[in-house]
Amino acid sequence: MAKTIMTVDDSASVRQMVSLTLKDAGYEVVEGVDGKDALNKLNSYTVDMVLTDLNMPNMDGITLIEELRKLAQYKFTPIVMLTTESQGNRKMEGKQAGATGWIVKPFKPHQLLGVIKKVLG
Amino acid sequence: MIDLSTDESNSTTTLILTGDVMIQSASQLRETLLEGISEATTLVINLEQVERIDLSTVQILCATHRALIKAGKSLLIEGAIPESVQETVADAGYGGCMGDTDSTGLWTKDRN
Amino acid sequence: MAINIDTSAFTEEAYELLGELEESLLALEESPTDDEIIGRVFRAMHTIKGSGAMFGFDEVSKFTHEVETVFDLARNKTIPVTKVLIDLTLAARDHIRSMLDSADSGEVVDQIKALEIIEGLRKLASNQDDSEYDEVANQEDETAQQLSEEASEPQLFRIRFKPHLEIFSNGTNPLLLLGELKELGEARIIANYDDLPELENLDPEQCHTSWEIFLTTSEGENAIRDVFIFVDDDCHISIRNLEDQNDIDSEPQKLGDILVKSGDISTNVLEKAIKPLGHRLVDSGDVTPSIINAALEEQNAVREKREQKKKSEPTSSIRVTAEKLDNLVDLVGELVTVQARLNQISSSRENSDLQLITEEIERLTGELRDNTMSIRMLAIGSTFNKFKRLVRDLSKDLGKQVEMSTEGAETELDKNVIDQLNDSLVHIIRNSIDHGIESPEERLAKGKPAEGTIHLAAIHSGASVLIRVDDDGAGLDPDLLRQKAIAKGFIASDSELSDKEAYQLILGAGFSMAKSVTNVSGRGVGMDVVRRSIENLRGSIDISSTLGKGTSFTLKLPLTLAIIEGLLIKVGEEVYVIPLANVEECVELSAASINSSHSNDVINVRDEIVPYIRLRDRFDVEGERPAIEQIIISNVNENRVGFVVDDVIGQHQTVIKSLGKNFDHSSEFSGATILGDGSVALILDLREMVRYVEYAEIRGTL
Repeated sequence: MAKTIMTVDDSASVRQMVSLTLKDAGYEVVEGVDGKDALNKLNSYTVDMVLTDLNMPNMDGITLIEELRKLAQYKFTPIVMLTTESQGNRKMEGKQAGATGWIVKPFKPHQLLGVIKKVLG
Repeated sequence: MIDLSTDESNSTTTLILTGDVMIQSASQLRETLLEGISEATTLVINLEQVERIDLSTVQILCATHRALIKAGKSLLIEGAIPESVQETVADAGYGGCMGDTDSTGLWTKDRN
Repeated sequence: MAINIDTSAFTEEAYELLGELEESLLALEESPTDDEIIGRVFRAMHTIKGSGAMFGFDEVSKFTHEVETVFDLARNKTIPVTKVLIDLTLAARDHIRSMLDSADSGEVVDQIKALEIIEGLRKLASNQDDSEYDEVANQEDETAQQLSEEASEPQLFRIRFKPHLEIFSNGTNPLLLLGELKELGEARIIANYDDLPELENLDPEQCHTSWEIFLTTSEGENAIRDVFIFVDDDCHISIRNLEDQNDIDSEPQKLGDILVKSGDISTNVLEKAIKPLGHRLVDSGDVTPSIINAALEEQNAVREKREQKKKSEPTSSIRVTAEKLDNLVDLVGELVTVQARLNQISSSRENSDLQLITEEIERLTGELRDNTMSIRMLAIGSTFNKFKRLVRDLSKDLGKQVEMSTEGAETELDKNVIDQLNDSLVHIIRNSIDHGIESPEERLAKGKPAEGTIHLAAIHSGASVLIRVDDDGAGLDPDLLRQKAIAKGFIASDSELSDKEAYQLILGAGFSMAKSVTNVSGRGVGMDVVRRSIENLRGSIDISSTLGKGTSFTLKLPLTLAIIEGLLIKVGEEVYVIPLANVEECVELSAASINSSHSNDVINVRDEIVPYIRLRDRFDVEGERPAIEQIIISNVNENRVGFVVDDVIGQHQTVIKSLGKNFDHSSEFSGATILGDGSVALILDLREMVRYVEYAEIRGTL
């Protein structure tokens, strides 16, 4: 059964790139445009993994991670944050919030798939 | 799915696990097992229909096994152990539950 | 006085590496994206650079550094592997070789050439996008794996991974990390769950397991660290390279040492519990069974790695200079000679004790001889490989397409034979490419594939090795050869030559079949040189050909040069040796049979007329002939020829000593040997003797 991954980013082009890469690799993809949108959608259905940007309007990535970890069905779900090199200290913040790992933007498709394989199997 | 049943004599408890038995249901599995081994003298576990387990499940089953041995009770595995379960146990590096001296090893190959 | 460092260790290694380098480069040309080959090329240069500097070959080191720098770009995929790059690197490889040669010979190396190569390489490095270079490499797909760290020898690591209790709660599945480790190489994973609480107190959402992983990988420590990149801040991870501290070539460490080193017990605890260690430690509660198991596993893993290493080097070898080997062979040769004398003396005294010892020594000497000879045997494969380059370069120069294949590369031959064989094979291959294989257009017109083939094969055949060079070119035209030989006066116009004999004509001096003189061959020198050097090796050349289909040269060579079985013969007061391999039989020559042949110097051997040569006449031996002489019937160039001698003494194991340069003109003797009584006997080269007589006859009759 194909695994479902939610990609959360306020940039449509990043979502599209991630989405295409994941679909190509055989994953189901759902998209969220910001933390709030993602949290709403994730409340109504369950995914196997979440990929989230950190800087987003309405609800940022760190908050989204914290909120998700409070939900029973996302307590142990892999959550990977998309960061930029300049946000080095936000990695720790994200990990404390409960992120499983991170990927530094910009990234190549194979790097993304590598990280997904690492945390999702 | 975790399904526990006890026979009339109250001596044998059978636990049937099906589908994914992972960390999400780890707490439930532990509670069920605690309840199951309190009364019965023999615990039978059936894993035949299990699709996936993870490390948390391996830990719980191992702790259960130890608890039974300590209480002088016995553990029986009923039916075949699915390959995916065996693989997870091997991947986790779990040998005999009680180390090499464990003749009743839960996961050792020559178990019947 | 300058300090004399023995640099031969470096130069020998460097030559070997250059051989590998060439091989790798040629392989790379075929698969330009193969990271493993690129790695091999890089490592070969890297080693030459490093050890060159260490041994004072600064020029070599500096030059190699330049090449390495550019190739590093290729390794990192910054520049593609192109034909230009390979050509330049091959040229660089040749230049390194000539620098090494010049260190030996004192010749001046071509500095301009070096500058050209470096300039070319630098240009490649800077003009990364220059499209004039025809790319043979398809640039790697973007989604391809990132270039792994420098692939190297697999190493054994012991990894301790103790996850944070709450590791599940941030979505990490530690089993996936273990799985990643497994993908790096061969992993043994041992879980330590001694800390697993009782079911009653177990928090099922916590991780109570830690692991010891023994991983044999060539990816290096960084690749292992990468596996734990998301968890290394809150988990305990230690990685030990067991080969760094624990030489894998020595015995695995003692169990106690491992435990102390890993910090699981103190030395005090170790001393308390001597034997049986594992059990006592567990009984005393100092360690848990899991820790003992992990330590035992480490022992096993190291031991296994060691055994694997042994297996992968089936024969550990030492490097010895050829000179030392030659000395050894000389000494063994002398021993054989002395032993023959001992035999002679022992048989003349009727002392059974002496005879017993003599026999024992004979047996040992024989074994020693065989063993020594086998040391000098080398596989011909490395020689074959050298020709790949030759074929590649030649066919390029001549505008032909040639594919070379080999067979029997593992066939062993005496090192000296291989060394001397090299030039002859080069010549034959050159000839095949130049005269044999047609241009692609011509081939297509004939209905052949545009690409010609040259096949090198080596086969064992008794005490000989056959080396065949086949091409699928135009073949030889026997009629043309006959005409040419007649025109040049090599043969009489009425001589009848079989096709096979006609082919042999090309081995004669001054006989070139080339329609035009190219710079590759066809200057009329060549095949006769080949013939001579093969005959010097006591070998022979056989040629077969099918017009339009191809030509096949078969070289028949002895396995070894140093010792032959010989037949001792006597002419006058002198004793000579005839190689037994040439001898078919011995018959008596009586005065009666001379008369019946009307002194035509032929004899009827079982209804076959065999010409003979009188060694007495040939060597101007004075004095009376014995009433009954002996004829050694031998096979020379497929013809039976007799040699008349006074007496046949018997078989003799002959250690060949070279005659030295002073005797170069006497080609009828291939060497000398020392007999049991200490006297010297010359070894006859029957083929040369026949040739000499034939030549004299032709001269006399023309």
